[in-house]
Amino acid sequence: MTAPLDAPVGLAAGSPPRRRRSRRVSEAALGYAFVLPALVIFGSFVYFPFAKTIRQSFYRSNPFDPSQETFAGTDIYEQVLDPAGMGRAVASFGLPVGVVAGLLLTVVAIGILRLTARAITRSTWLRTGAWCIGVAIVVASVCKYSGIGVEPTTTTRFANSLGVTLQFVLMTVPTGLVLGIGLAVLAHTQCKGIGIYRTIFSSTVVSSVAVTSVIFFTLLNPIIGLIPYWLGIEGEGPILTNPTWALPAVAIASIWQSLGLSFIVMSAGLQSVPDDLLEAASVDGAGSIRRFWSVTLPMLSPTVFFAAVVGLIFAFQTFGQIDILTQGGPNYRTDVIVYAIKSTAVTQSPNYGAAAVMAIALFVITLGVTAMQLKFVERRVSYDR
Amino acid sequence: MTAETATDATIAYPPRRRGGGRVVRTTLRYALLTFCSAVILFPLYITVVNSLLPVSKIAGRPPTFVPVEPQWSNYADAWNQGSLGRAITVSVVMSMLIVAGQVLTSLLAGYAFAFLAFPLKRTIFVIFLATMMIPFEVIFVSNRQVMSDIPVLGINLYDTYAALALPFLATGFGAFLLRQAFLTVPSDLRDAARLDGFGHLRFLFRIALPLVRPTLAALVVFSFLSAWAQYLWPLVITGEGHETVQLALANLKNRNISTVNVTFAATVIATLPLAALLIVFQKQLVRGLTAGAVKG
Amino acid sequence: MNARLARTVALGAALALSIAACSGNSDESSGGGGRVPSELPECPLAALESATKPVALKMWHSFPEENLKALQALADSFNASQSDIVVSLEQQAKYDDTLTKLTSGLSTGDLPGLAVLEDTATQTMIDSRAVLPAQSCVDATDYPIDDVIARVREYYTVDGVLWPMPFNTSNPIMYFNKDMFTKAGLDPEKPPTTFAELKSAAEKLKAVVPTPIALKLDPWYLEQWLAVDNEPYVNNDNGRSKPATEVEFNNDSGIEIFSFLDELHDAGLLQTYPRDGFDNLLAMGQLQAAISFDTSAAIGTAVTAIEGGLFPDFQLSYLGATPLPKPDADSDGGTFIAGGALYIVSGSNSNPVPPEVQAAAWTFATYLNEPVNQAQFAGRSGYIPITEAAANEPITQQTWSTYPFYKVAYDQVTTGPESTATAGPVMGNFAEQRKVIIAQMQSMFSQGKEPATAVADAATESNQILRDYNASFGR
Repeated sequence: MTAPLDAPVGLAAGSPPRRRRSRRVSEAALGYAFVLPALVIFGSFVYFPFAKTIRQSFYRSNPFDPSQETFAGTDIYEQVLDPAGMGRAVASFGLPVGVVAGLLLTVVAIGILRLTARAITRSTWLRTGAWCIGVAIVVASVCKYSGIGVEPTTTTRFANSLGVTLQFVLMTVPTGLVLGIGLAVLAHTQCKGIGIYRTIFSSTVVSSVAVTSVIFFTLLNPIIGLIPYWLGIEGEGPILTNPTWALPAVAIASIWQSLGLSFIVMSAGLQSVPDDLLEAASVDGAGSIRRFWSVTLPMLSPTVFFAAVVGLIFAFQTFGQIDILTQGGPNYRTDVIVYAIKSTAVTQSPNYGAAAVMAIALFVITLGVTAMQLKFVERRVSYDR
Repeated sequence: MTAETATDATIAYPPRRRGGGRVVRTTLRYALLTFCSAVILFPLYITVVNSLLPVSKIAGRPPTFVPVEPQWSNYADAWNQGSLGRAITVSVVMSMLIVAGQVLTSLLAGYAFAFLAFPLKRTIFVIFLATMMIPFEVIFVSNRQVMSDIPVLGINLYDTYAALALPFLATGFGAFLLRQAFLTVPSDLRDAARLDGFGHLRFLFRIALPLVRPTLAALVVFSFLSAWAQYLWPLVITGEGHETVQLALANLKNRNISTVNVTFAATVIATLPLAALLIVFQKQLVRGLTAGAVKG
Repeated sequence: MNARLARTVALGAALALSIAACSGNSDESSGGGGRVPSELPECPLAALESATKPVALKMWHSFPEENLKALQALADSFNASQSDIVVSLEQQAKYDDTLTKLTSGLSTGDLPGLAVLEDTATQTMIDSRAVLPAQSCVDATDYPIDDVIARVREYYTVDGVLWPMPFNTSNPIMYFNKDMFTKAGLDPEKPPTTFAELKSAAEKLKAVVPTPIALKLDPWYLEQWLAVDNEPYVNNDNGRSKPATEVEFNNDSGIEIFSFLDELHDAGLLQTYPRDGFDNLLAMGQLQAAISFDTSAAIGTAVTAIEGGLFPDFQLSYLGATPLPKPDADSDGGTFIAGGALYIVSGSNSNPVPPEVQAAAWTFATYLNEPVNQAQFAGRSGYIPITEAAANEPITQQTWSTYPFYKVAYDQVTTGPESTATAGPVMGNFAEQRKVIIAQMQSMFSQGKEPATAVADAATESNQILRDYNASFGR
């Protein structure tokens, strides 16, 4: 149940007019006073820096004196995003990544187009017009930047980091979800002593990013780590500097860390599955597996979806593990977007313009994912508030 | 949404099946549970074990899994080498500042959105929610520049508590949460309060706040957890003076190439207080983490 | 909700953007054009005279263990010898970190008075306008800078201005195992002097050890061997007459160097080791390699390890060192110096370093370079004594006679011609460019990329880095 924001609430309703007006004024004043602190914080440390970032993305700045700058228009965007090289780079990570990237891009584009169109106006004509313009821009960009017939160049850092981040996301989010559901279902019982198991399953929430990374760093150490020992590859090259296995290793650390949270969320979701439905299914002769697929999972879907979207957004923001475990290496194989931003902006010769462009790109991606959530969640899932 | 977790009595558990198959299923379940627990618990377990071993035992093969002669001195070494006392103080102060800020601003804003009428309320609410769409990772570079040279005031807040806490003193999510919680306060209570001559402030702190205590507690736990675990922002905005526990841990790991037992001891020190807190406030934790995920 | 949300966001963004736009300082960068201030800043010795003593001087460095002890000893003796300046050392993890912190410090205010920065930082420091050129104080005090050996002076002099005070200079040399040479039928006193000789020696050594050469994935192979071939690395006189805008290693010499390494790798004569640390030398100590290339500054650590018994099968008498082999017999150039140097930090407009601290930095820098102190620091570390006086000090002479391999690097930089090539390259964001070289080398080794392609790709990416760097200064 959402009270409409406009409804007369508060303590002023139902009293004589003059008192009501002055009450309303004082209520308004109080209202502003209550939201002011947060607004000041948001304005100063969210919206202002955001605007600054957008502005920075159009300027080339002196690395040592950022106030000295030259306007660069969309040059930095073209250079950093390297649309021509991007397609090649992302595709070079393999077909699944390429397909996912394509889908993601499409979804993001559609999401933004929808939001913009609806925001601009209610008029269907104008909305259709906006759609056409949008589609035209996309098609023109694709034609210009598809790289067909253009000499291949080496990939830019952002194209690489987008590919790396997508790989990472594909490795961690689905796995985390499946394991979370699995653990939650496993522990969803009244067997004796289940409380201990539940606590153990949730235990990884005490481990922060830094703690997890430090633990796994030593576990993966080629000389004294236990993981190389068990895998029988002790003495061979360190896993964390192995071009093929560095990212999966980081992914495993991330998945482990998120297990606790995933379990808690999925367990809470399971608790809301109504027992009469399960009872009815059982009476109808459905085995436990059938019950799971036909009853539990669909009822769990809002939770799963929510966890997926949140997990997705957080996976795109991965930083700490990379900084502690691999520092983006070997050879930029674990250089995720946020790490690329940080090492472009906090380094010997910072390139603030490029960092800003990458940050904006990350924002657009997050926006797209959120728009996707708004669109799908509001349609498919029924909340009765 | 009432943000209460269902009690055991109302949870729907899969119906029990009768018969001999049940023993097999139960055994299987316990086996799986134990196996999963072992795998999940292992990294934390080995951390504690290794924190009590000398380096030679850690490197020794076959590996030691139970410390026969625990080397407690590792903890003293970790405390000193990592300046953990100072680091913990920094983290605690920073986290408390952030939690206090978020609780206060969310409480006030949530109440305003739920009970007060003022022009542009809807727009302002949208402004609050929109902040959730701008991840911190997108704006941290600019925030860093802002901190080094605050516009208008021209002060440099690099390496201060202010820099660590300010960007996080308010949260759209918290305001949203509190608003939802306040909306569940029954209207007869409001009417009764009005009749009794309660102004908004009194109503807020005497009546409404105690009613939303569970949500508030959830926010506190969630807030504290996020603040404590922060890595990126403290990394780029502090120097020697205000190293948080997470940074101290990372630096210790870089410096101690061979003495990993000391690093592990530091890891335990860094995690234990949090673990204790979370065990005590388990319910609030679950509420905080699942807020928004699950209906009811 | 969606429409309102988007509308509000759009409005808010427009509003905030305009605010930010107004607050943004749109100084069209004119300052970036001229690279060197037309007149050198004054050496602020007078400020030191009149300042309240003692003046606190913070020095950032990244020396590990042994070298740290040597530096600390010098700092302690300096502090004890006078009461005007108190030096405190702050250790950083590595050169890269020091420079990153320095750059950040220009905005945040966290700055030292003196910083030991890597050789490759020269152009970056010039462009930062955050250091006081040593030339200012050299001129003001008539410092006998000509005592410093030529190549060291030339490396750090750009457009006639000496930027840092040289201090810890090293050079890459070739380490080899004399015992394994003997066992393979090679003369340990006549190690290879050309690529061809190196290859045939390695082939013979294969009988004694499976992969004779331990190759650290270092970026300087291309740089140094081009200099040995008397070729510049970048344009504009190796970046010394004007800022470098293009690399010049995409030629026959460059391809020859990469091809040679690739050849060794394909023939199984070479095993790669990571850039961080000294795993390649560890491999030599454990008799898994007979030859390796590394900085002379590692000798001290190696000797300590050997004498400390870390390598039971490697005796000190096995340790051989020799100058880098030349690509061809007729290569007529030489190596340029490496290591680090002392930069006097002057800070930025928003965070300046007080003049008395800068003067104190100069004073300490000259102290560190006094012959006895230089000799002591260079001494057993493997760094080169950078003045003749230091070279003639008894400590140095004794070390050289007892352990001849310490002299190899010194000889390498004091013999041969002085040219633009041997002065060494100067370019902006050199550290980033070096990562490109390493990446291409790795592609060549582990992904079978053709050497010519690797060099070409390296050139393309390096040029992009240079373009970006120069563009950020409006030039």
